[in-house]
Amino acid sequence: MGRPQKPATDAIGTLDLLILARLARGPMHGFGIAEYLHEVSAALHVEEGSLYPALHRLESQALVESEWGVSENNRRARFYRLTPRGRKQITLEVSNWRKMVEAVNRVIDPLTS
Amino acid sequence: MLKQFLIEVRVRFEALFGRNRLHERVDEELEFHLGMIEEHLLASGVPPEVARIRARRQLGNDTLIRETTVDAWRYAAVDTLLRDVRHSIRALAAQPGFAAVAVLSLALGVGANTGIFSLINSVMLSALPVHDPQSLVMLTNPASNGLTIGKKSGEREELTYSEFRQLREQSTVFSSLMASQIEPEPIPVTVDGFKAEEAAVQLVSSEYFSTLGVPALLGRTLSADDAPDAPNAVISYAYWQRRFGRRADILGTRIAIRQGLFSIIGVAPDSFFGDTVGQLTDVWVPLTLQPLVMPGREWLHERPGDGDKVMWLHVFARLKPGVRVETAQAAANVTFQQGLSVFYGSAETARKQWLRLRPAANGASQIRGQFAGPLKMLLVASGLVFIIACANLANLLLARNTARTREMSVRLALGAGRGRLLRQLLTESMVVAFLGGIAGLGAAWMLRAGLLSLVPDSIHLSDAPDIRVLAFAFILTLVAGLILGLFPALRTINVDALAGLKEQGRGLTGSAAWLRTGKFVVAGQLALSLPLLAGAGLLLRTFQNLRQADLGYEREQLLMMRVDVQMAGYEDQRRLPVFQRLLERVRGVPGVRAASYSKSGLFLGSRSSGSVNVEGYTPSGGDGVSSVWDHVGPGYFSTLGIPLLAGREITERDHPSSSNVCVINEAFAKKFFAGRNPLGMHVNAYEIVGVVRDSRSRSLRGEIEPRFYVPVAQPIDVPRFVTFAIRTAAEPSSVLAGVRRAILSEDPNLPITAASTLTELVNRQMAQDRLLARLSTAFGVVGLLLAAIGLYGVLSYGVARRTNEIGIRKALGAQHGAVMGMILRETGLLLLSGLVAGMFLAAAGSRLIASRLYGVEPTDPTTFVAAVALLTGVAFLAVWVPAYRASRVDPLIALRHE
Repeated sequence: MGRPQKPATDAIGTLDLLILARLARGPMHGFGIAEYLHEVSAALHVEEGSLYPALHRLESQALVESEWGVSENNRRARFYRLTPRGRKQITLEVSNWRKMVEAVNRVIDPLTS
Repeated sequence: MLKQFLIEVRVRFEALFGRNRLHERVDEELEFHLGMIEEHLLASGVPPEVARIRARRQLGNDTLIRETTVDAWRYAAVDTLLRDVRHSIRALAAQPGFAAVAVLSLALGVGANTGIFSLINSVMLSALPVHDPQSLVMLTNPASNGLTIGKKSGEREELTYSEFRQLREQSTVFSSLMASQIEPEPIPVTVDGFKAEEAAVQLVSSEYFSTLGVPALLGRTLSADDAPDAPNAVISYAYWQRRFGRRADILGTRIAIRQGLFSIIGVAPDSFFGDTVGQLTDVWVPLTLQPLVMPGREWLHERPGDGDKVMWLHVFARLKPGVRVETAQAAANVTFQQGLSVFYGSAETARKQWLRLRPAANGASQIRGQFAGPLKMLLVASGLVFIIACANLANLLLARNTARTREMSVRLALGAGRGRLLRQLLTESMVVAFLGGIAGLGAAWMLRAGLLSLVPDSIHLSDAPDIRVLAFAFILTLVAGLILGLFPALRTINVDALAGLKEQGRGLTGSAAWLRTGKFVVAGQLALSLPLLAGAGLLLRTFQNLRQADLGYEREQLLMMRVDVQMAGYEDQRRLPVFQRLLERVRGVPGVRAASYSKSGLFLGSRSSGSVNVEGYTPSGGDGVSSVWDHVGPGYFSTLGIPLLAGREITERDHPSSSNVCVINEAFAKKFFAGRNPLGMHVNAYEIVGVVRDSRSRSLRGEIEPRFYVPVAQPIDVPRFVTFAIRTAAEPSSVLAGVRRAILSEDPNLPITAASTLTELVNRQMAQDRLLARLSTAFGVVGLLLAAIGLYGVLSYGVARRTNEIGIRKALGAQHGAVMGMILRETGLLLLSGLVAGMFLAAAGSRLIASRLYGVEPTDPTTFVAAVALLTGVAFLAVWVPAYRASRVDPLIALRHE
């Protein structure tokens, strides 16, 4: 039907944000992104199967661009990098994220107080 | 910003064309990922085979991943575009009426404009098919002294051979210089002894091809290193193909041109036709051999003191790098005027003429001067047609989108972005525009064939489609689609979603607003149509007037044939007897009612003029007295049918030993003998014995010049050719062959250099007016049709919207007539406002074409009334159908109509 939905296995819509945020720190290949996210927090278990569709989707929207390069251990790898629009998109996604967190908080506040 | 744009372009490109590469890339990426996981496992001590399996399991179902990843590209924006396009096409197919009218309107608009533009392109803009045409310049002599050979229109561009040579010696500013005969002459040539046939022969200097930068396709071209009397000839590709079937052994073929025997040394490339747009040359031969090609005429040398200099060459040059046009012009003028001082013996006279350098990327062009004005006018007219067509398109799109307001509101309410909707609507208009543009190109193609037939047949214009024309059509279409799509689309999008959802069918805001705009647009269309119609009317009448213009004699059944005795080698004293004998023979041809001859002939472009002495007349200003004259044979005026106003005409009695006499025309009498009796007075040494009515011999427009006629038997200078004027009993063309035989029976070597009926010659003069008349009428009709369609469309829609209301009225007792009357009355206001605005536009517009008019004023009432009547009539027709349908609405059905 329409665009492929963001994978339901993650927290809603956050995979894009995570990927973009990592790339804001510098270009990296898919495996590296997955590792970084895992390092930062084990809780952020990125299902490897949804990483690449997400990366490619982001590229099809011109939020990231990619090119072949050489990894640290001399293998041919596809490196991804933010585009100017991608940089702008981060701000948008962050704001959405925060709104959502707020909304969820409002719902659960009565329970914790 | 730019970087982002480029990225997006690449993304779209990849999405469309990168299918296979995408699969390979995804494969490689996943391989890499697997490999990395494996490495980590190996590093922590897991054995290799186990590592592999575990890595695979960690990644997950890699086939699924592969598919999902590749799929992620499916919804890239460009794909959306394709989907939009497909959707638009389907929607158009579902509404064929709308599609047909829209595409047709645009096709007519784009077609008309592109057709005219392509003609303008060929005539005015095309660069010569030579090397670096932009750096070519042409040397012209804009003053009016001197004897010019060739047609004159626009600035004079001819120089003499001596001037050319002087300039050639002056090589400080020119890197190369060449000269060419103004136009090729059709001459009977014999090839390898075969029967004579005509070829267009042009005399050119040895640097012709090298200056233009045109290499030879076969063999070589003329070169400055050739001996000046080497009889070399270069033929054109077209001639090689036409006459020789492109045979490979063409080089060395002998070709006899009058008294010269030439050898073909080369063939020019396919694209090269010469240095003048609209003229095709078959054979180029060296300038230095001019006396052989034109026996009896020597145009290579002037002696100071000669009657006047013969200017018969176009001179082109290339400037040395870094030299500016102004510098070169100044330097060239120094040389030029030195030469003139020597020739005229006085620096005063020399200064009256001067040299001008002009850029010559498009070559010399006779037709450009003639057709530039009319073509520009036609471009304006076609522009109006385009606007009217676009207005139709706008109205149609507006109507369509208004009808979909509800659909749009629903989509907006469901969360679609305005941007997305806007893009979709725009795509729809672009698709319509695109189809219209293609149809328009087709229309332009067909129009072009018709257009070329209106331009005189001595002109050859390239038939090949030009990139510039295609670009023009493309841009027009793009502009039309974008602007027209934008307006309706924006209006639709800005509709408040809520209001749209609430709209019911009883004729509300959206559609009412459109109706208002729609009516305004139609009124505008009508207003624009009126100037088109009025202009067309004026130009049509101009053309009619020209066709019936009084020449001073009957133009039907008159044949002109020019015989050049000088070229056949007759010296001065032998000419008069041969003229007389030829006249006798011609008079004896069956079908000839009467015949005589004159030197200049009629409408052949010849003219003799100079200073004269008129007895008893002293000029008021400081200038001397000058006049036009002609040499005529016996019975000239009675042959033509020009009435005598006083005295007698020139007859056989006037022979070399009788006293010198002449005849003057009315204009001459009025100018030089106002109030006096001219008979018995003298012009130079000639006694005036008769006065004839004014007659036209060169142009249909303008004042008739004072002219006097002397007998050929008592010439001012012995004519080298005469033009027979032959009155025929039947169609002149049927007698042509007989007259030709009669002339050749006297001497088979006599060249007949012109043979046409007078009507043909006059028609050639009217070519531009014919073009204007036909095309402006076509545009007027098309514009009117488009406006009528627009009117019909808007009104139909208005009636459809008001079906409910009409039903109520009828249910309450209104009759058919009353309903119709209501509709018509409301439209009346629309019509009136359009007409009034149109009148103003027409009055202003006709001033623009005033210079082309003949026999009608720009504000001629009859024409305007006719235009208004036509417009009103057609508009009424367009209105009548919807009004009729409104009146026939069944109240029951109407009341149920939503």
